[in-house]
Amino acid sequence: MHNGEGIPTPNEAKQGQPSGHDQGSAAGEHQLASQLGDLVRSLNQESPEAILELVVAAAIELIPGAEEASLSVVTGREEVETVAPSSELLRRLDDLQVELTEGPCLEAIYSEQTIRVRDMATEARWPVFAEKATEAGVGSMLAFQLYVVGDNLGALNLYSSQVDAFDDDSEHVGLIVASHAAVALADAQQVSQLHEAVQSRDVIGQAKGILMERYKITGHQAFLLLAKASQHSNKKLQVLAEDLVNSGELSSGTK
Amino acid sequence: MKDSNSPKPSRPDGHPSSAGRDESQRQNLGRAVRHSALPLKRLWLHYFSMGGTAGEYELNAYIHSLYSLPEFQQDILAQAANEMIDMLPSPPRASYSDEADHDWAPNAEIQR
Repeated sequence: MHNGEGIPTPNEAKQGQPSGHDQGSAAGEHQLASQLGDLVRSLNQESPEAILELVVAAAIELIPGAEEASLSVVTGREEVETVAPSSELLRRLDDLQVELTEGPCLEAIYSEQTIRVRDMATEARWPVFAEKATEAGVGSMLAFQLYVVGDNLGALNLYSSQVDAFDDDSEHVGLIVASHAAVALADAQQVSQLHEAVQSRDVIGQAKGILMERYKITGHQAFLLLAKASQHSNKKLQVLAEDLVNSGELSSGTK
Repeated sequence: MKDSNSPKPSRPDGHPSSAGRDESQRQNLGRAVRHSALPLKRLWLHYFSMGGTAGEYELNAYIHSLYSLPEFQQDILAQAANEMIDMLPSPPRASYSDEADHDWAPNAEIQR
């Protein structure tokens, strides 16, 4: 790392600046560290959607070699969805991997390691995908698993039109970006899941109240009524509760 | 956990027959949860979203016969587990001679 550059002048903002003892021997890292710090702070308290877009933008800016980026998010058991791609081409390439059930993004998610494709044209691990990606102008790729303890969230995928665009530096920086992205995403998902759960609880509570008043029954009996209707109609209890609250009718037969 | 063998009812208002029914309901729930490998965290969240009031810790203890839940809570938990099981992808099925290549057509198209 070269000296001199990146050492702050006194009139720059003090937040996050090196201490007086800093010799400037790692100036390049400082810049990166403070950029990563900015990223982490910007991810805090955002909605899941905003986090995804911020992460993609930051990945392209911070990770050496990255021209385009996207995220693959695990939405259910063995279900993966492409989100926040920096171009439509990436959406097609990521969707193609899901369709083929092969490719670097899925490999990163399920093999739980970083996947580097040096030259897409000679890539033999996923021949069908590699051929399509090469046709689309992809030279090389780098994919990181996004995970927190006990939860596999997806992958951060980087694309370049150049062959061998990604080096060890790209992997190191990318891993830091991916780790921060995973933690922020896990938090945001948890908050939004709880938010949905509380809304659902409220609707089901209202539905129970309607039935209790209508049939002079207990809350437990009202719940069982909804549960039986759910089994008969093959609809989720929450959906039936919503219908009941909106229409005043409890649909019990098949749809 | 000596208590589980004693005839003590699980709730103040419990009597032997309801205690027996409680136990079989618990066992059926435990079997269903294990068979489909439902993750506890998601099961709790779904149970909570339907109005369940016990915590994740209590659910875990209930499933492992270390804690009892009121009947109402057991029913909410049963509904939560059944809905999660219904949402699981169905296992792969065999196909017949007149539909055998149905699944392969889209892939073949891509490989061309």
